[in-house]
Amino acid sequence: MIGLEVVFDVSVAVLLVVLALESLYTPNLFTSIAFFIAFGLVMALAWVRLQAPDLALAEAAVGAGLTGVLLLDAAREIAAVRGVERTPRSMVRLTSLLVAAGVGVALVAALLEVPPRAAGLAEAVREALPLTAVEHGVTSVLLDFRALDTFFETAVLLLAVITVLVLQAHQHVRIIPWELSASPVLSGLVGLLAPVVLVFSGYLLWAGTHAPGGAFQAGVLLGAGGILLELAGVHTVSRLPRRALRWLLSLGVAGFALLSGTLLLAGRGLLELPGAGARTIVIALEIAIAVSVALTVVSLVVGSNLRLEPPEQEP
Amino acid sequence: MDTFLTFALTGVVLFSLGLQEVLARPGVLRMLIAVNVMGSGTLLFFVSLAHRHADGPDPVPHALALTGIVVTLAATAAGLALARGLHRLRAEGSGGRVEGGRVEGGRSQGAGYERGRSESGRDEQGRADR
Repeated sequence: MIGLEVVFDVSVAVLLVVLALESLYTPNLFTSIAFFIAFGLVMALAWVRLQAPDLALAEAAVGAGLTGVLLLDAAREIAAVRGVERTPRSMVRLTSLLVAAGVGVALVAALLEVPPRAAGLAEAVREALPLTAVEHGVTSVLLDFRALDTFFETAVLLLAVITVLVLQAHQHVRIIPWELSASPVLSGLVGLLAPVVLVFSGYLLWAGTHAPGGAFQAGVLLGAGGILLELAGVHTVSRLPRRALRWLLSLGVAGFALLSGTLLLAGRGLLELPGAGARTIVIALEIAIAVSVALTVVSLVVGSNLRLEPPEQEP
Repeated sequence: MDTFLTFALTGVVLFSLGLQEVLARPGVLRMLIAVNVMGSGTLLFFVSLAHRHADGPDPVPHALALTGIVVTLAATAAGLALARGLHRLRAEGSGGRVEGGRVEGGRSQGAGYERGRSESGRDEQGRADR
């Protein structure tokens, strides 16, 4: 007797593979991106099935929404010229098939060696959770046990956004600004959605201490809301003075750097949070990360379309 | 077949599919889609390993996968920005704004890029008129 759960799992898995195949092999690039967006949505379902609501929240915003926007926007500029892409030579295709099949078989073989039941670090996290400032396992890993990883992640995000903005600043050609749509449907929808997005991302940020949610999910959602506003012609991030934008983009990294510097000077380990006040520190860090993630997301998407003022006109 | 095995196998399949497409040297946008599919496969494999415990999943892979999702977005955006920069350079090269032949590929694929440049120019004109 096959349970309903198994049927659901297998359907999600098959759907993922089919959507991935479609998005990789459909000749038309725009269709392919549409399939990729659907793939992101189904990935969110897979995370729910794996009891990872934090990942489902992030994937629904990133995989389904933001990556799709980025790809469509770039495709509009690049693929309009190329049209249908060249099909690779059969030798290249054959070699790539063989290599990929070999890697796949090796991975399946490794998977069969993995014991089907193992606790991993779940026990260790549960035991140490009362020692941390928060009650939610994923947040405690992100901002306490493995805060160093999160520190460097914020640095990676900052590097990516610097790359996008620098490339933008060195463009000699004029950049097509985003259509400032006068569509009443879009502006009406954004008017309805924007407050909801704002409240919900605030909720996610607050909930992160004790339930699924946290700085990254809140920041990504807030950033998606910011992009919607920009699309509807309501300029929030792109109107920010460049200097303020730079500071806000580095707020997460700056927060971590300041905290680790202070702790080192106080004679503690790097990012070894003090017992008293740890909760305040974690919440302040979460707010800083959420703000810089949100602005990073907006800058990554809108940055390629910003018409930057020349340096001499900089406020 | 339980949830762990189903999604771990799906992860392997997604990784291999993406790898195949990356190695087949498609256009740059398709390659970034393929890298994203590979990334999803990797995270799916990793997080399904966290699902092998009876009393709830292991939060450590969840936290790492969460950072993975956000970093993938940042990497994709940086890749796309580079691709667009390259594209504009080539368009400029073939359009004669940069001295002829300085940008390789600009000459060989000149006709296509030239067409693209004038299209986008017209586009801009149309928008300015509105």
